[in-house]
Amino acid sequence: MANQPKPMLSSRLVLVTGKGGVGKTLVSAALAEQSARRASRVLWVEMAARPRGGDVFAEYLPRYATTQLDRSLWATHLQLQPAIEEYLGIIFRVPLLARMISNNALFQVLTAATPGLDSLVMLGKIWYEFERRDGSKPYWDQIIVDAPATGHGLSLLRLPVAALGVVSRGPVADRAADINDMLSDTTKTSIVVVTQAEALAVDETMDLIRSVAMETPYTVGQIVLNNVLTDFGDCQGRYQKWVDGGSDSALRERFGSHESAARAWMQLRERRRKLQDEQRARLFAAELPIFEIPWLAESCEKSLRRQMSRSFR
Amino acid sequence: MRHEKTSPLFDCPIVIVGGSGGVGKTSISAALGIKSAQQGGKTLVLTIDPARRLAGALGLSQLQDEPVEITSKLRCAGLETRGQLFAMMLDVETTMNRVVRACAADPKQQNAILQNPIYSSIAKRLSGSQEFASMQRLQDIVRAKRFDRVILDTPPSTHALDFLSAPQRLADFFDSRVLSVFSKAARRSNRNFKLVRGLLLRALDRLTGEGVIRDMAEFFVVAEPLLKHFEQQAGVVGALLRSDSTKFVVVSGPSRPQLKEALGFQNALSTLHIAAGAVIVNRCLEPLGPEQPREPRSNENSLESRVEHWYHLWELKARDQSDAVTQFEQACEAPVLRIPAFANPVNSIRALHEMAGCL
Repeated sequence: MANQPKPMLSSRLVLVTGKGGVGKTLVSAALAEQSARRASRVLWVEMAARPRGGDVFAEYLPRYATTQLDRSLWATHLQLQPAIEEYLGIIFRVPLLARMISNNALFQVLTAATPGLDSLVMLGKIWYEFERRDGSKPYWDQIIVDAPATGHGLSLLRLPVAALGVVSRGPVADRAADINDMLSDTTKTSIVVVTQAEALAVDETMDLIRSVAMETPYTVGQIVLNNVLTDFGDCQGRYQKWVDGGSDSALRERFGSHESAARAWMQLRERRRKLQDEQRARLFAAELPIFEIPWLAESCEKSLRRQMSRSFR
Repeated sequence: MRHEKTSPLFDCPIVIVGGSGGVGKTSISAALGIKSAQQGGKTLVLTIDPARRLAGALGLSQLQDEPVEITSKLRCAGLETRGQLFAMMLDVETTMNRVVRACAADPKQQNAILQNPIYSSIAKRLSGSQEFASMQRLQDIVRAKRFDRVILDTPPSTHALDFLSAPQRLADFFDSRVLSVFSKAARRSNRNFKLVRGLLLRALDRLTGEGVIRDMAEFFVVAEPLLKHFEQQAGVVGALLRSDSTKFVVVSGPSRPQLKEALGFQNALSTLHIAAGAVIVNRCLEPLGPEQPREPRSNENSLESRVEHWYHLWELKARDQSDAVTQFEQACEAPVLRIPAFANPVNSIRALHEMAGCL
């Protein structure tokens, strides 16, 4: 299946989810970076309680206030309390009053106990940024969200409909309906699942895709397969011969004292590639476009992000 | 400083396995369980895992909320086992409901709590409830003395530090002073107080909508015995974590940011006077070559060049990771165990056993 990055960069809102540890944050940051290359205003949104933006972008200290990272790239770290404060400020039109209320200990307890309120406020903030206008056109050309990992990501997506089931009128119902409209429209929103070609990650990915389809009105639009080992091509069986223990003058000349290490590496690589192909084949059942990111050797997260973003071109 | 690496993991009846998401906590817990069972005695691996990963790893289609014996699975996989191995996947709601039944004064109060919508929201998804439930269950199991060793796999997405503070967070949440606004006394209080309370409730009303505030007021009145339990529990959990019978195992990945995080956790543990049994660095790449490989010669697109290019990248990455782990070993006070990156997935008993061999 060919690499198809198209669906995920064609909608204005991109939600990136996936199993913990597969590279969700990096992929979403790289997508944002790539998007910012051809747009004038792109927002990267982090939702984790412990943000990792500082590891991924140089000289960035994650915070709620929208921070400019580059010429056309901004970032924000979504948090419940400042989002509530901002929302109350809009409702009451008195920022000081909003701050007093949201800083109140009782109010914090109450908001934490209210079912789904946290998710609704966070999605509400994303919706607010999505709808923000600059004259006749949208303020943000694209918003890329590093959404919570599979389990929490799913409960986030279940929320708008659940909220509409509980309240039918009033500001909450209105907002839930707005969010629902935004997420249901595949021209506005695309949901991307990041995974690796590894059994447990593929299990979780397939479960997530199924659950989103069955339990929410939305659909996952794209799979991003991270850390893919590419095919070297065989050149008339020479590569396979090396893997199987054979040698030739070209190999000896090229690797010298590293020959047996290089062979051990090729063997390890091919064993992994075989397993990878089995797992990748399972993803085909989802019938979604799959975008593959090759395995990158880089250890520094900032350079990884830069390299990865180039693969989205 | 460097410590002797004499299996520090099995001299304790309680082993808690922590670390950030995706580092392999569940696999390591299962591997520890297998090793412990092979050495003899009754071992339980207790996990809380919505993705049911341990279930898959142990070849079970489903784990119940009760310990299930899986010793025969080990024997089927050809492993010699002197002891017994049990596994259990705990369900947060079941555990919370059990707490309610134990705390409530009578069936009427019990039902009032269980049927309140705010309660089910708290039981399922309040930050800290997963952690609370796993500590609660661990404590019940330890008290029942059915097992010689219990290995607790901490909730999947939990950051290791959040796990430690979860019981306290839950207790703070139920802080009775804050909640006294809903009590009968508050209704008789002075006008200013009523004004503030009215404002807060109005703000909340704008955020939530009909019914929620009523449910909440009702919940905090009926749930008073539960609040006492949470407060108590925070203290009991602290004592259990600090006791000589408990050891913490930190699982980390081999990358520099992951190791940095593990070191921070390690330091936090010692500040809290909690014993760290070991840090396990999972999925370590090992350098294969005899020395640092030289720069690839050219960028021509021949097969040799492509192989050389990738071998070079891999080898450098492995060397960098290996250096990072060595530096970590020197900075870390607890013993550090390296587990290599296995080519095969660690999702069968045999693979877990192979992993256990490195512990």
